[in-house]
Amino acid sequence: MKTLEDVLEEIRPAPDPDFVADMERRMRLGFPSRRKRRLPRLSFMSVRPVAVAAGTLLALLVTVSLIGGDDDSAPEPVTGESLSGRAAESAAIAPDTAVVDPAFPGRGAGIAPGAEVRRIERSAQLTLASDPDGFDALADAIFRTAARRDGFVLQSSFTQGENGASGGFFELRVPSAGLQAALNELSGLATVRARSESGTDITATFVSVRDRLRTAKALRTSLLRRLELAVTDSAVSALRRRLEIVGNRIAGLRNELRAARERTEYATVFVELVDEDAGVARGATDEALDDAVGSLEDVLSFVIRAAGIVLPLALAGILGWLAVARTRRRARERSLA
Amino acid sequence: MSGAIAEGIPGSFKRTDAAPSEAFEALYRRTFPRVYGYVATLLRDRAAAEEVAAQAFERAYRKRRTFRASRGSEEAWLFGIARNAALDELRRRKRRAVLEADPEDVHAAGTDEQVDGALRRETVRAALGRLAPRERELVALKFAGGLSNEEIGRVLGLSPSNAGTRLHRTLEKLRKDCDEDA
Repeated sequence: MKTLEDVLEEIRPAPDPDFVADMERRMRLGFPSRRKRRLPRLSFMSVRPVAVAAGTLLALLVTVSLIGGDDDSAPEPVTGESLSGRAAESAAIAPDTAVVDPAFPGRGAGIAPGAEVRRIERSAQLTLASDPDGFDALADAIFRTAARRDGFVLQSSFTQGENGASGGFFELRVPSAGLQAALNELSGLATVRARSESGTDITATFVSVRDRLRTAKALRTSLLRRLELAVTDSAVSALRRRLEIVGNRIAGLRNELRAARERTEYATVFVELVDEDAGVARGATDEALDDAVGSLEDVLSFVIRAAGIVLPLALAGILGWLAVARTRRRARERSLA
Repeated sequence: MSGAIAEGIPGSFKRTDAAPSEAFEALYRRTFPRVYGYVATLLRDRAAAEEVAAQAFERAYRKRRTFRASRGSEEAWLFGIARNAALDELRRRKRRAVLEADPEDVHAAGTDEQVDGALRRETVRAALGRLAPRERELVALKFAGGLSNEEIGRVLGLSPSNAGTRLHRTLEKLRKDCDEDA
C-alpha cells in the first residue's frame, strides 16, 4: 500500500513532450524573449554610462541654477537715472555747494578742461619690513624724514609685543612737490614690502569753489555800494543782514578753498611697519592655508547643495519603489486568497 | 557575484553569450520538471502552466546575475521567481480553473492492483483540489517541486519550522479527506 506522500509525488503534473522540446530549443538559444517589443531594447550596460552622464548633468544644472538664482546678491545696475538721482539728492541736501558725486569727485563739477594749473591730490602707501627690535629706531627715522621734507606726522600707532604681532602705522603729510624724494628716503629706511601711489584730479572742485568765492565777493561789493546809497533805516538793516549772510558764505568758501589747496599742496603718505620674518614665512603659509580652506569650503558648499537636491529625490525614489514592491507583493498574495 | 550559478563558469553570464552557461543549464535540467509540476498544481491549467514555466526560466536567466547564495539555494531562488510569475498569472486572469490534467481511466483494462492505484491517485487528486490555494501551494512546493522545508520557507517567507508545521497540518487534513472519500 502506497503512502499519501508517494501518491502526491506520482500525481505531479508532467510537461507535455512538445513543450519539453520547445523549452530545450529555447534553452539552447539562451531563452530569447518571446514578447514583441515596440522599441529596440537597450542593454543596461550600454545605457548606464548615458544615464550616469545625464543624471550628473541634471544635478549640475539644478545646483548651478540654485546657486546662481540668489536675486538678493545681484548687483544693482548703475544707470544714468540712478546717478543723476543721487546727484540731485546731494544737491538738495547742500544747495549752496556744487553737485559733486562722491564716487566720482571730478565728474559732478565737470573736469575743468581750461584750467591752466591742474590740482592733483596725491597719496602713497608704503609697507616697510624690518626686525621688530629695530622698530623704535625706524619710527624715529620716519619722524625725522617727515620733518626734513617740510612735512609732519599726522597720526601714528605703534605696537611691539613679545608674543603678539609687532607693527606700526604712520600717516604723514609732505609737500606734493617733494613726495618722490620723501618716498625714496623712506624706502631707504628698511626693506620695502609694498609701495603704491595714486592721484586724484580735483581741479574741477577747486575751480568751482574759487568761482563761487569770486561771485560771493562780487555780491558783497555790490551790497556795500547799495548800503552807501541807502536812505531809510529799514533798507540799511536789510542790506546789513544780507551782507552778514554773504560774509559767512565767503568765510565758508575760503575754508573750502584752503582745504582743497592743502589737499593738493600736501600729499598723504601711509607707512606701515611689519615684522620681516613673520611677514614672509607666515604670509606664504597663510596664503596656502587660506587657499586650501577656501577650496574646501567651495567643495563642501557644492556637496551640501547637491545633497540637498539628490538626497530627497533618492529618498522619494526609494520610498516609491518600496511602496510599489509592497503593493505588488500584497496583490500577488491576494490572488491566493 | 556569488553562488553556484555565478561561480559555475567565471564570466559565463555575459549577456552577449548566445547560449546559457553550463551552470544555469544544469539548474534547468535539474529543476524544469519540478518547476512545471509546481506551477501546474498551483494554476491547474496546463496551457497557463507552460506559459508561466517558460516565463520563469526566462526571468531567471535574465536575472541570474542577481542570485546570491547567502539568501538561499538556487532552487529556492528559482521557485521564488516561478511563484511570482504564477501569482501574476493568477491575478491577471483571475483563474480559478479546476484541474485540467487528464484523469486516469480507472475503467481501463488492467490488474486489480493497477485499478486500485488509479483510484487512489484520483482520490488524492480530488482531495488536493479541495484544499485552499495556500495549502495546495505548500503541497505543490514539497511534492511537485521537491523542496526542503527550509527552501519552502525561503520561497514563502516563512521560517523552516513554521513551513514544516503548516505542511504537516495540511497533509493531515489531506489524509483525513482522502480517508473520508475512500
